[in-house]
Amino acid sequence: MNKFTILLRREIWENKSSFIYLPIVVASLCAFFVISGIGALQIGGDFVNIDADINYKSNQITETYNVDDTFDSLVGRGLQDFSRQPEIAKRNALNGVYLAISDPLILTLRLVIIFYLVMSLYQDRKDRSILFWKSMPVSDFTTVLSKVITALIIVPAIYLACCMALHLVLLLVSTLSALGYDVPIWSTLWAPAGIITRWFEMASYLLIVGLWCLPFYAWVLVVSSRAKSVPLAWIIGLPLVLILLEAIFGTTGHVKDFISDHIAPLFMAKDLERGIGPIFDRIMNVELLISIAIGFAFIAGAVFFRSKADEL
Amino acid sequence: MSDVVKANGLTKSYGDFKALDDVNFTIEKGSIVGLIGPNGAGKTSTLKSILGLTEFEGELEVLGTDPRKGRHHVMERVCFIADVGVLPRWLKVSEALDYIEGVHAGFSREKAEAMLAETNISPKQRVKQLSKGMVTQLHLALILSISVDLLVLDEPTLGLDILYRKAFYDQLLNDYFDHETSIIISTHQVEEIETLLSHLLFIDQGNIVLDSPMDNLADSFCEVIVKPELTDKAQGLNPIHIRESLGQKSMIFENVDRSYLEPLGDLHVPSVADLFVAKLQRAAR
Repeated sequence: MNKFTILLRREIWENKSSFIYLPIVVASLCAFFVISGIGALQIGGDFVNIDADINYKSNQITETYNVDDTFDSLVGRGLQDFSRQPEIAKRNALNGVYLAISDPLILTLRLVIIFYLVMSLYQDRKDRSILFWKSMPVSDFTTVLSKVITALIIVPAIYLACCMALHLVLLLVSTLSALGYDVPIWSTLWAPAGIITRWFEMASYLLIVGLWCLPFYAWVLVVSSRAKSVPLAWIIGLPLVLILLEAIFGTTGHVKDFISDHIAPLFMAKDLERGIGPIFDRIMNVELLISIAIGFAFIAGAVFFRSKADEL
Repeated sequence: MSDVVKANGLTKSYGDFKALDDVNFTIEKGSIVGLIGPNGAGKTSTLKSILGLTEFEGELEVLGTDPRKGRHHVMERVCFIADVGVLPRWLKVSEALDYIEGVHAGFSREKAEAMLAETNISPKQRVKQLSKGMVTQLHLALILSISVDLLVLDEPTLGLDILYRKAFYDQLLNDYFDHETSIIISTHQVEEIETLLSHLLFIDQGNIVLDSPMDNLADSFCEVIVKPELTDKAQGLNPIHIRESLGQKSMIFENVDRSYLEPLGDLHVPSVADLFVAKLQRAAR
């Protein structure tokens, strides 16, 4: 197990900028826009003309509401209105907000995973470092498995942690902004946000979508382990050729449907806004098992090519 | 079982081309074997077969097992440096140490750190920040800190300047070699490793053309600087190689009794490089 842990760490070392730094930067940017947005609201409404950064720094948040009484009372009234909404309305509204600010991170995550997988079994053949990795007593199966686990669990977990931090920032900033208005913080901002539940939902969503798209991920690995050059061309080209052949000679659209079904969810983080339930209903069935089985078959292919692999 | 590697009818084909054609040899425990041949002779195919990196036909036993059973099993007891400069450029020195410590039971971190302490390499540096010579030092420190039964070096000093090359082999002999571990070195730069070796394997066009302990070379081979008036007589004894320099003919004989050769001129043991040329020209003929 310890051996496997070091393989996972190896993946993080190699991809530190896209696994660690990039999500931190994206999350910080999201947080910055959230804070400056709320700050601008606080400072007096005419935030279009005010430099957001200065707002944030000058924002002694609890004091700023005196700046513009009219506007201030507007915010106060808005909050009070919101606090009187039915539970379900509050939940839906905040759900949307919390998921929307995670969207940039989720989208980044998908792209990072795909590019990681494209290079994972290709780059070391290209720079010949495969000769070093192969001189270690690590089986080709374990090597490939470490890439799969990294893509399915490790990287999503890191990005999820950034989402969680971002949610906490949003919760904190919104709470601070609401202080001083006569609204019940817990029942207005905290309980409906239900961020702990949200995190569990997101975690299972990331895992399930990962498994659902395993055929695609594993296909990328096959190409990465085999291609002599331009792996991206193979990754996109071969499925396109299949779809084309099906369109010309076939009468059904099974191939096209299967391929698009197992790629599209990666780029539809918005799915989550309708709640995790519909996604699970759509995905948690025998089709998911088929996806996993096909994924495993491709992974076996990647292991096979990896065992034959040599420097390019 | 004192044989570390036993090859019997080892054959490796790429389509019609035979990179190795029915090769037989054994490598004894504790020996330092030079696998020497020109480019494309089959050196790398031989080593890759031993390391479980490639398919082959015939019988091959490495430390009592068939390398086809899996490279990762072989690598628990065999280490190799396949050419210099193959450490990944993004890797930090400290990460390299962590990694090998994590995956290889036989790795001694203390030993590696002690070796690195004598270089200008710092643990925080990345491979891409090191010069080619330093990368070799690093690779060597890493690999030599793993205790294994067999070390395989494939052209380990290619592209290095003479200072690093010399340091490389000094370190190999002084810090590493303990008569327990066996070493196979493949190279086409014969002169550099001549003094190191205990056994010679010449390979050419997929065939072993010489398989001899270094100590036996003097018994089998003799180089004679032939007196000019005796040239014809010397030719009659079928030299395997004739070289002319400064008007003198020097001939190499194989398995010719010294009593026949002594009258012809000065006798001495040919250098490995001359022997290499002699054997290979003969094989080419």
